[in-house]
Amino acid sequence: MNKEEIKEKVISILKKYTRREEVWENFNDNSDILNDLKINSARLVDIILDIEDEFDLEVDDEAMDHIHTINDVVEIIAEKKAEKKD
Amino acid sequence: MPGNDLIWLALARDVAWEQRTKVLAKVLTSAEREIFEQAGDPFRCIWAFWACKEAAYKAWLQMGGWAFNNPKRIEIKFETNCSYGSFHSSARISGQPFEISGFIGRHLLFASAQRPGERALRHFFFPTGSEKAFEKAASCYYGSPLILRKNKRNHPVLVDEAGKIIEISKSHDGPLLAFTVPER
Repeated sequence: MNKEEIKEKVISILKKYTRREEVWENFNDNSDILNDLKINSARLVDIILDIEDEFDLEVDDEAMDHIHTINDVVEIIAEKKAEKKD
Repeated sequence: MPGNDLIWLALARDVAWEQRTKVLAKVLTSAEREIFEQAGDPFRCIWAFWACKEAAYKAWLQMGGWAFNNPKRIEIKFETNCSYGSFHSSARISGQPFEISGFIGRHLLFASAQRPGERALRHFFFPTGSEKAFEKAASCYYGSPLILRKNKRNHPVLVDEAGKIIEISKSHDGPLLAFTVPER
């Protein structure tokens, strides 16, 4: 799975938790999940669990702290997937 | 420098955090987990923990702390029972202490946090979208016209005509907005 495919899946997970459709009119890879996409911080826990299920990996506490933007999520998933392959 | 958090319980009910062991493992420290396991009302207990953590985190950010996402970095100790009614708890983030108070109601759970020794806090509750009504109420409370703004770090503040800033906290869930301000 390449990064574009990962991003597509990540966005579809994030979309489940956004209350305002309009946040998706102007987003980019560096959009901040809490501030730009207006996702409630409690939902970030649900998003991380959805990501773990969807990509069959574990986002540990340290990785969790580095999740701020869409790109951060994609990078962490790509990294964890690569670790799993090795 | 206050922090607050508001949970509209009908919305929280939908995600059933109290029944999901993976959520509990992500959110609660082992000491908190022990308290949760003994709670008479696990649903309200997990959300009381969350509201305390979120309120302490907002107070931490207001004092210039770094941003993080791991809820277990915030350790909560309940001084009173986390059941219906008012409660008191304390939090620690990276060794820094915070005092927390709040209440657990039928529809609503609310927590506010501050550093020990800071001025007492006052809370304002309004329907969603009533920021202007809050400005009016806060202006009345402090006795001078105030405008609700965000500071450079994206935190809510009240600004008076002379540019003086009052740091506040704002949270929103379901049909309600909550604002916490230092007492005048």
